Amino acid sequence: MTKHIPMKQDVLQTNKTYAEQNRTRFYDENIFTINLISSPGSGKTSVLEKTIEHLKTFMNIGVIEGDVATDLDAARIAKHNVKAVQINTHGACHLDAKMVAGVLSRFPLNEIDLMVIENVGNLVCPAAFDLGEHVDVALLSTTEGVDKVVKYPTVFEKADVILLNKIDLLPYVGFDLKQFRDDVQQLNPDAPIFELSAHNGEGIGRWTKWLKESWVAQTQVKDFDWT
Amino acid sequence: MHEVSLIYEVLVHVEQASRQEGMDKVTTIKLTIGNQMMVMPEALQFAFDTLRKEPAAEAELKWEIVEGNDFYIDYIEGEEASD
Repeated sequence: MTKHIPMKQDVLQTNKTYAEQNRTRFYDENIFTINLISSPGSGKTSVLEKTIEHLKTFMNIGVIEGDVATDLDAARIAKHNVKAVQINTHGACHLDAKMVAGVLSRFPLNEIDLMVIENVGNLVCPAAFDLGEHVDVALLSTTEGVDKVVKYPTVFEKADVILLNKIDLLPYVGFDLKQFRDDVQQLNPDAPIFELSAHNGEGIGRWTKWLKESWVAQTQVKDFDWT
Repeated sequence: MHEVSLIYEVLVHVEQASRQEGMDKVTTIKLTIGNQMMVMPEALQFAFDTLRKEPAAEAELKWEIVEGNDFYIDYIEGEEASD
């Protein structure tokens, strides 16, 4: 006999359960966590290196590096005397919350203030997987072209903050900054935008100031002395 | 390409539900997919054809695209175990 079973089963329920566990763990340890999403080659790791240099005297930083293959990025980050753990997805185009949960024990979590999860370079798939982060950071670079915001809207729509990297190349690449700001404003009016260059350091200070303030706002840490 | 991960999860949930409900063979899996999930139905079908296994090895995959970022299994249909 034919049987009909109504399910209404959320396909990503397992991921969401792990993500909530990660989020609780981060909260309990006073860790502010960001999920950094961009396409390959936009400068995620370079921006992160500059960010670490700005922040490491104030905060202890941990980095989870997601890549399809190699530990090149974790090695780059480790040179800054920051704990970095590499996850290789062996073909998968995104990190999921279970992969992140699996590496947390490799960090001294009680010592960490800021956890950066650098997702696999991809503007589509990572947007579907909550990792337990506090904020999503979408990064675009001027060399990719301004049209990527509207061509890959979900990442920019869901992001809590948007970074534009490689602004030192603006005179050479014909990137329409006004169009970029207008498109982002249209999709996601509440997200702050930081325009910066990992190459010459321009704009990094404004971005790291936002990170420090968000750490205080999102965790139980209050009245931190930044001087 | 995250369609592969999603179909893997679909098959896990379908297997569990069919076992709980005493369903021998799943003939239909109906999905509801939010347009913001960036899911491509053709890629979903391709992943399903690659990963399909009992009790859903011969099931037909159906889907409906809706506004938003939901992604859930709406219902399954199939044959009850004969014993």
